[in-house]
Amino acid sequence: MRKKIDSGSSAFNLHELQCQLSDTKLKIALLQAARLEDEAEEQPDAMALAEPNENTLAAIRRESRRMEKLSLLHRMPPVLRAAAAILLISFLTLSTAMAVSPAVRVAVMKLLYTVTPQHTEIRLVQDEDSAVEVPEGWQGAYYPAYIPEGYTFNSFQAQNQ
Amino acid sequence: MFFLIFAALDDTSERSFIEQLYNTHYRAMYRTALGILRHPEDAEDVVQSTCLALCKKTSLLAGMDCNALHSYVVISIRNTAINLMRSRDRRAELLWGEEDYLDSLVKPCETWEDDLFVSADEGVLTQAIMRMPLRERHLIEMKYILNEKTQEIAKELGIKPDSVRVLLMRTRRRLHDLMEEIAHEKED
Repeated sequence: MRKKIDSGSSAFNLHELQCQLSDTKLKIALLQAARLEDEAEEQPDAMALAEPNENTLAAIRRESRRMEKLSLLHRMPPVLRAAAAILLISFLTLSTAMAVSPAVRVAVMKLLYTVTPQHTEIRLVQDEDSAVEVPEGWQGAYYPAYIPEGYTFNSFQAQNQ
Repeated sequence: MFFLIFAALDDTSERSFIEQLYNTHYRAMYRTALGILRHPEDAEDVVQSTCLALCKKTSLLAGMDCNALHSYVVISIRNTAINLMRSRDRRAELLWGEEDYLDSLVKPCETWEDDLFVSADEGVLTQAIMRMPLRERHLIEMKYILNEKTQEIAKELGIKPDSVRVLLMRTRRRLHDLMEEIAHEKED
């Protein structure tokens, strides 16, 4: 509908500005016309006593509450919405892959287990707050730095490497 | 929990804005609707449905000054009332017939004049608008004040979107001609 004409000016498109001015004048005139006509309207006596309708007020309140609830979702920053969508998709994808593919299950397990020819090692997180008490008379070179709750140290066997 | 906190901290000024608008402009809204519909209950229905529609435009309305807001509300009421009249097939002068735009299929393409009102005097333009027939004024109000898209206007008028463009073009031209008539009257 409108063609941009390069006026040669680097900052302004004169034709576009004139079009905006034309539309703005039309809008101002429309608003002024509505106001002037409303002011000129004769107010019948009945109108002087007219009061707002309670049913309409109740309907407005209901609609405003509904719009408020909808706007809460729209107020979430787009980044948060994108992050939530990515997390959800990743979770669903991984769950489905693990359920369907043995290779994926093995790969996930490898993150938790270390398998060697002699044994399978399951690493547990060490509790940094717990103090290690080496029993008196311990003659070995090493002592476990962490023993999970419910377990007791029984014996150890050193192998020459 | 996050949403509850958010809701508690939420400003309730928007919630009461439409209520305040309704209480402030009620008489003007009702008077405008009654002037078109001539039926008190229909007028009340139009006022209610317009206010409910305005609930979705609270952020737009909150940024307007009081004069522009008053005019916008009046125009919205008039738009709703006219649509109601049109849907009930009352007042044929509000309806657009095919004869209003089908000839554009055979005439050479009329050009859209973007800058028709650049040098218009605001007072003269306002007077010209007040002289326009209701259906033409309603059309440009839908486009320029209510910011309705061509598809929406076409749906309300029951015509094709391409026909809306033709009608708008001719209405703008008609308005420009009215301006020139008023300017000549002032010179005489």
